[in-house]
Amino acid sequence: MREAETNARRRYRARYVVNATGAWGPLTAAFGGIHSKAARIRPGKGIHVVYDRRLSNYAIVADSIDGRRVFLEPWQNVSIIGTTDDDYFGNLDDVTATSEEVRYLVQGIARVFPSIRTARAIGTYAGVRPTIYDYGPDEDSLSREHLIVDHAVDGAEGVFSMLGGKLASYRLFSQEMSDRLARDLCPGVACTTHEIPLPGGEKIIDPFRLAGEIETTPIAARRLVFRHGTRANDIGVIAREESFANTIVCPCEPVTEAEIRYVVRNEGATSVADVSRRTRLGLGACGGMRCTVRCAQIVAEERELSPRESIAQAKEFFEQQARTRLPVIGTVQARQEVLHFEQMHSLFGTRT
Amino acid sequence: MSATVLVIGGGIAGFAAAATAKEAGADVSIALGRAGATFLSPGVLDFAQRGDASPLTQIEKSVFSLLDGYVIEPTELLTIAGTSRTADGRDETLLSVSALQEDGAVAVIGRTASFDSRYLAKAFSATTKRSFVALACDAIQRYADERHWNDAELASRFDEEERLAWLARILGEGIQRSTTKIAGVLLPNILGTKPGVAARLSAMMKLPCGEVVGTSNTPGFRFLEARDRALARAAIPVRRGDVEGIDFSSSGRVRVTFADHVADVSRVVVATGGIVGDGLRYVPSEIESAGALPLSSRATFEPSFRTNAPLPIIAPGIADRPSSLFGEPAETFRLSLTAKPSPFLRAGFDRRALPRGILVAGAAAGEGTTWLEAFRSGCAQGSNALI
Ligand SMILES: Cc1cc2nc3c(=O)[nH]c(=O)nc-3n(C[C@H](O)[C@H](O)[C@H](O)COP(=O)(O)OP(=O)(O)OC[C@H]3O[C@@H](n4cnc5c(N)ncnc54)[C@H](O)[C@@H]3O)c2cc1C
Ligand SMILES: Cc1cc2nc3c(=O)[nH]c(=O)nc-3n(C[C@H](O)[C@H](O)[C@H](O)COP(=O)(O)OP(=O)(O)OC[C@H]3O[C@@H](n4cnc5c(N)ncnc54)[C@H](O)[C@@H]3O)c2cc1C
Repeated sequence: MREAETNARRRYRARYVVNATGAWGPLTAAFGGIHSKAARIRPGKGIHVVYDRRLSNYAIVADSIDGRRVFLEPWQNVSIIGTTDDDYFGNLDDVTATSEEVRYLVQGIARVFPSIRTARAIGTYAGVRPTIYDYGPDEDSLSREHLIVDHAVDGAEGVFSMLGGKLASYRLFSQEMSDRLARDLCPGVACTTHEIPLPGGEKIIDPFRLAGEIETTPIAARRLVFRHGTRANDIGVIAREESFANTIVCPCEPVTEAEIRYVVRNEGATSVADVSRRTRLGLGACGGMRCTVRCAQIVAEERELSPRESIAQAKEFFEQQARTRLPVIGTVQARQEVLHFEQMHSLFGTRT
Repeated sequence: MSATVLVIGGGIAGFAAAATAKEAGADVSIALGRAGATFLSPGVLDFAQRGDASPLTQIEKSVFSLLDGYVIEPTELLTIAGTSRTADGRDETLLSVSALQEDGAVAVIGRTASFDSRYLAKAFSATTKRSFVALACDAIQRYADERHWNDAELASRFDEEERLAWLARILGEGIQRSTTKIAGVLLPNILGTKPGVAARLSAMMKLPCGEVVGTSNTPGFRFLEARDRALARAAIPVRRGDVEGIDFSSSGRVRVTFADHVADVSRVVVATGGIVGDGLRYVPSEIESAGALPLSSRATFEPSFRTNAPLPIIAPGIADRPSSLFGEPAETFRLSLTAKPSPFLRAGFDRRALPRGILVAGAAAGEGTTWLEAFRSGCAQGSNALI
C-alpha cells in the first residue's frame, strides 16, 4: 500500500482481503495477480447536473431523446438532473462530464420542464458505475444486482471481490460480505446489522434548540443535524467552547468553522476537498469563492500544515471545481467564473 | 468646435475617458449604469506598470489625482490568503507593508468569516520577512449581532466618527498592553465604505493602520464614492441608469437610448466593462438551444445593449470553441490560476472595425486585465474622442 499523503509504501499481511474498489475492481484484482476477467465489470459512466436551488419540490421524470427515463430531483439544497449511462473506456481516475452529456439531459428534461434551459447550473458530477459484466445488452438493460466473487477458484484463497450493486443496496451487500467472512472468523455469531443504527442515527436532535445553544442560524443548525445526526451535538461543543468556532465559513450551504474542525479531527478529512465531500462546503451557488481560502487555513491549522500547503490546497480545490462547472457554463455563470478567478488572482498575486 | 461626447459606463475606464475628454475641452457627460467589475472588485492596482510599461503621462497623472484615496507607487500588500504580494499602486485604505518602519511588528486584529488574526499573524510571519503579532484585543464587533455581519456591512459602521474613535480606543489599549513594538496595524476589510477612514484611524493612532486584500466589495464602494466626488469636482454631468440602445445614423450622429430619455451626441465612448461589467454577454449555444441540438456549438458573445451597428467582438480562445462531436471538446479548456488571463477576460469589441463616432475603452475592449490597464485605456480613448 502507498499512503496517499506521505507516499510511504508499506506491506500488510491479512488472512482475508476484500476488494471493494467499485469500478476499479478488476484493476485492483490484477494487483494480486488475479486475472482482471475474474473480477470483471462493465464500467458505466453517469453524470448529474447541479442547479443553484431547489427548482421543484418533487421529483419529475421525463423521457430523453432515446427513450431513457431521466429525472429532475430536489436534493440537499439544490436540484439535480440525471442521469446518463454509457459504456466507459476512459481513465477511471479522470472522469468529467462533457457538454454533450449535459445537453442530452437538459434536452430531455426541457420537454416537461422548459425553464430548465434558463435555470442556473452550478456544476456537474461524473462517476463510473461498477455494473456487473455482460456482453450484448445496452447499458440500461444491464443487471443492477451485486455479486461476491471468491477468488479461491483463481488460486487466491481469502481474496474476495464485491462487484456491481447500487448505493441503495450497499448495507445489504456489506452484510452479505460480512456474513461470508464471519462464517470463517466467528462461526455461530448472529448478524446484528439490522439492529444497529448508522453512526449519528441513534436519536432525533432538535435543530432549533441546537441553534440557540451555539448561537447560529436555524438553517445552519438544521443542515448540521441533517448531515451528522446526533453527532451534531459534538460539533455544538466545539462551536460553544472554541472562540469564534460558530462563525459561518461557507455561507451558501451553510457550514460553520466548528464543523470543519470536527471533520478534520474525527472523520479523517485532510484537505478542502475532503471537507467539501463531508459537509458540502464550497458546493453552493458561489462556487467556493467565499470559503475556500478560509477552509484551507482551518485545515492547515488543525493539521499543522504550512501556509504554502494551505494555499496549494485552496488552489487545487478551486481549479478542480471550476473544471466541473465548465461544461454547464452559461451567461450568468461565465460572468461569475471570471469574477471568481479575478478574486483569486488578486489574493494569490497570480495575475500576469 | 467642441465635440459632444457621452461616456457609457462608470468603471475606472469610463471615469478616465470622461475626465480626459473634459480636460481636453469636450462637452462630455457620463452614463452610470448597474454594478460592474469595479464595484465587485477588491480594487487594488496591480502589476500593470511592470517591465517596460511607460510611466504615467501628464494627463494621466492629472486625471488620476482627481480620485481621492488612490496612490500609484510600487508597494507590498497583505492578503487574506496569508501571504504578501506586490502591486504598482493601491487603494489608500490597504496597508502598505513597504511603507512601515523597519523595526517593529505588524499587529493583526479582528475576526470575521474570512479573517482570523491569530492564523494570519502566524502565516505572515512564516511567509514574509517581517514579524506579526495577533493583538489580544480582538474585538472589532461592538455588538453580538455584528458577529454575523459580512465585512461590507461592518465597514459601513466605521464610516461613523464615533465608532472609529471606539475602535481607536480598543486598539490603543491592546497596543499598550503588548510588549512588542508595533509598526502598523492590519485589519479586515472594514475600514469604511468611503475613502479616508484608514487615514483618519492612522492619525488617531499615530500609526499606519490599513486593510488586508480580501474578497469583500468594500473597495468597490469606496471607488464609487471617490468617482462621484471626482466627477462633481470636474463638473461632468451624470446620468444614472442603463443604456438600452446605441443607434448610428447616416449623418454620423449617435443616438443613445435610456429607459426614459434619448441622447443625441457626436461621439460615444463605450466603457461598459467585459463580461463582469456586463458590457458583453457570453451566450453558449448549448444552453439556449438545448431543444434543437445545433450542428455546431460555437460559443458567442453579444453586447448587453441593443445596437443597429455591427459591433464585432473578438474573443481569443473561446469564441471558436467547437463541440466534441466536431472537434476539440469544450471541456479541454481549463481555467487555471497560473495560466494567462482567461479567454473570457480577453473578449471585447474589436476596435479596428468600429464605426465612426464610437470608441471603446477598458475591459469592453479586452483591455481590462488590471485596473491600471483599464484606466490608461480610458484616458487614451477619452482623448481620441476629440479627434
Ligand atoms: C451518475 C450516477 C448515478 C447513480 N445513481 C444511483 C442512484 O440513484 N441510486 C443508487 O442506488 N445507485 C446509484 N448509482 C450507483 C452507485 O453510485 C454505485 O453503485 C456505488 O457508489 C458503488 O459503490 P462501491 O462502494 O462499490 O464503489 P465506489 O463508490 O466507486 O467506491 C470504490 C472506492 O475504491 C477506491 N479505490 C479504487 N482503487 C483503489 C486502490 N487501489 N486502493 C484503495 N482504494 C481504491 C475508490 O477511490 C473509491 O473510493 C449511481 C452512479 C452514478 C455514476
Ligand atoms: C473580483 C475582481 C478582482 C480584481 N482585482 C484586481 C486587482 O487586485 N488589481 C487590478 O489591477 N485589477 C483587478 N481587477 C480588474 C479590474 O477590476 C478591472 O480591470 C477594471 O475594473 C475594469 O474596468 P472597466 O471600467 O473597464 O470596467 P468595469 O469596472 O466593469 O465598468 C463597466 C461599467 O459599465 C457599466 N455598464 C455596463 N453596461 C452598461 C449599460 N448598458 N449602461 C450603462 N452602464 C453600463 C457597469 O455597470 C460598470 O459600472 C479585478 C477584477 C475583478 C472582477
